[in-house]
Amino acid sequence: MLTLKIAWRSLLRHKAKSFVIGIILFLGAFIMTLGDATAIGMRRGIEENVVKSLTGNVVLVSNEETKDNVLFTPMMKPLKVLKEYDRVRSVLQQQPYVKDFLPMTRGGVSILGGQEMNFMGTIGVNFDDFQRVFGNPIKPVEGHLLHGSEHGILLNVQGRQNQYKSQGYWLVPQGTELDRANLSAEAKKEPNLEVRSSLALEGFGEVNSTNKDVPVVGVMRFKSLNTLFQEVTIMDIETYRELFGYYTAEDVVEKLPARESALLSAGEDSLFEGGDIYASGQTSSSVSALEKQIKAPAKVTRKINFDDAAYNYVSVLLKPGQSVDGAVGKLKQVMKDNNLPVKVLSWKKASGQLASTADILQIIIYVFVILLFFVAIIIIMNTLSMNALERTEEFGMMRAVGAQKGFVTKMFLAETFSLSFVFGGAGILVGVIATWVVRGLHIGSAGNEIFELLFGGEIFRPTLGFVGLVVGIIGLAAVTVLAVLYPVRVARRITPLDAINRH
Amino acid sequence: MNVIELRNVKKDYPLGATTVHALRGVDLAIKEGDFISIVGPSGSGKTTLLNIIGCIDHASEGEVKIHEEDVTTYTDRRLTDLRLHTIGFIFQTFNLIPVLTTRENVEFPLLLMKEGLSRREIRERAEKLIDEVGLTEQINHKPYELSGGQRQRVAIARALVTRPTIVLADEPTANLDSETGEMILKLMKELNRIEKTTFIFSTHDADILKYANGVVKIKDGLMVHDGRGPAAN
Repeated sequence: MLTLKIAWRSLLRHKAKSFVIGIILFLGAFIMTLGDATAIGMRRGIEENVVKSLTGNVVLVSNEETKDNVLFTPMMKPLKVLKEYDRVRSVLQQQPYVKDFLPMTRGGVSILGGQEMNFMGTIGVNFDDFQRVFGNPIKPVEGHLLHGSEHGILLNVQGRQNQYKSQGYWLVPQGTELDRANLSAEAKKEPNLEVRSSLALEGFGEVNSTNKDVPVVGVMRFKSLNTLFQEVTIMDIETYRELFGYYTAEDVVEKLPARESALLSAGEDSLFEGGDIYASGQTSSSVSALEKQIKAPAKVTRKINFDDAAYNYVSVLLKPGQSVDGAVGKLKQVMKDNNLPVKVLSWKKASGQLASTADILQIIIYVFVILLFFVAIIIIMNTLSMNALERTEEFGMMRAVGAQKGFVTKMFLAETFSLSFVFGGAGILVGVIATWVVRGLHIGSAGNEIFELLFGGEIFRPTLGFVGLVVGIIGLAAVTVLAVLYPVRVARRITPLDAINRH
Repeated sequence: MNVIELRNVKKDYPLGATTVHALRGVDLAIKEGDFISIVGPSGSGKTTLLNIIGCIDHASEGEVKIHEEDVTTYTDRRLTDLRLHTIGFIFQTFNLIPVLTTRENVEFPLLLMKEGLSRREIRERAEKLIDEVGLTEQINHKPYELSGGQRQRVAIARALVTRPTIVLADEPTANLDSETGEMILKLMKELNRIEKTTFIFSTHDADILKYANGVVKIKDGLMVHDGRGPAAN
């Protein structure tokens, strides 16, 4: 109580010094709080928008994939085919923590027939399932989204502009008119604008490459983080498979039923066995029936099951409240138990740098705050040491009348911790209030890609985190302790004799 | 009984390449209830002697006994404790904690003592002494609101609040006008009479020697006179 009383009054007595130290502590605490909230908001935004728009919480790929960063690789090199998907699907269906899952393919295709060779990343998916699993994260800008077994590609509205720059023609969805309002600034200046409705694409499979003219069905945008995903196009799964030389689901459907297959593969002897065909000069009724069956059209009306053919990854969405790491662990175990050739990755690992953007921002903020605190430690240490020396007579007199060194230590600590508590606490409090206010303002990114990334979406939603606040408080305490160590040593060394000599 | 006993006390200070011999072998015995003045010209070693008696400086050589205990081997903690419980200090200036009021300054050593005194007892003891030094009206004043004489009186009250057996005062009247100085000395003498507290004070002022019942005269680090009654200059 006595130490606190003296500490508080001493702080008030040395207002200017207290204020300088206090402002540094205030700024450090404020920047740390708001910065941390920004990073958390960004992380949550990216998580929300990336996980729920594209990746799912967990990604399954072939165990032949050597790297973890499988989704957003340079040039979008195609992934290995995920084998035994039927069994993988069956296992996933049995997991109680799995909300839904979606098998997909993804790879890079080259664009042919333009000014220059260019690459484009594309995702192959049954789009109806995509909408079901991810809850409609895409909205059409021109044309329409893919439906049912429709073949074609959805271009990103920003990607189309990039496409125009590199290829020199403007793409519009088939069956639609050119919408001049949507033209890029460069395209608007072009008097003889070439307009196309399809893209000549070449996919490079594991053994060969395939060219295909793919109709543009629609131009779309992701509802969030569109800038981030601007190079992502979506095509129907069957077109993708054709481009990459995969076995398609339609191939499966067009297979002849077992009896016809048996007939085709039968040997000549067995085909003409019995000799009844020619014995009476009459057509055998059984042969006639067989001929009718053969002449009948193949059973192409059978519903296509997309899952019968190739995929190269599965996005898994977890039920609310499920831990991603926990689910990854469980899925690894269950895949291993079922002897499935699958590699299980968290969305963060699978997304590589994209997912770690928030972590990088947070590290930058922490480094900045650490630097600020380091400067603060130096300034505070210097100011307090000067302060200790200036108060030699006061401390010397205290020691003369019976104050132990410990009392001087306590007094100094009380002074510095009081400053930390008041100004650092105010910094945290103002940071918390600023976070709420900024969050409430719904500040938009206005299409600025840096802001969109920083916000983790289109709206800036800084979010307070308990860990961040605790780290902030511990950081402040650490700064206080480190800053006060040397001045305390100086103050403790002051003897009554120093006071007398100084006098 | 001797409350203070010094035997062949020497104190040397290094000063560059040379050594200053502040005390060259002082022998001194002071009894309980003495009111002793230490006199001598500037640089004679008065303050050094007081500092050694008050345990805020160490003798380079010799024996220093307080209440028959040799304190030369005491640790810093023990010496500080001794100062708190046994010795009261009145300095020439810088006596008070600037951020505390008169009452709080007087209470300060009691609060350091942690000897089970209640808050009320501490308050009462401080108020009684403040009243005795005539500063009741200034009880809530900060040091900067007090005159030099008033500050010295606060220092006296603080020096006595722990009921020490020894009070050391280094030129307590040096910065005061003669009237205030005389008043301070009268006050010290009165407390010496009532409380039987041993007072040792250094001074330049021959006028205040009349209050002392013993005078120790020091010159060039050596004691040249020790006896009852005013010392001859």
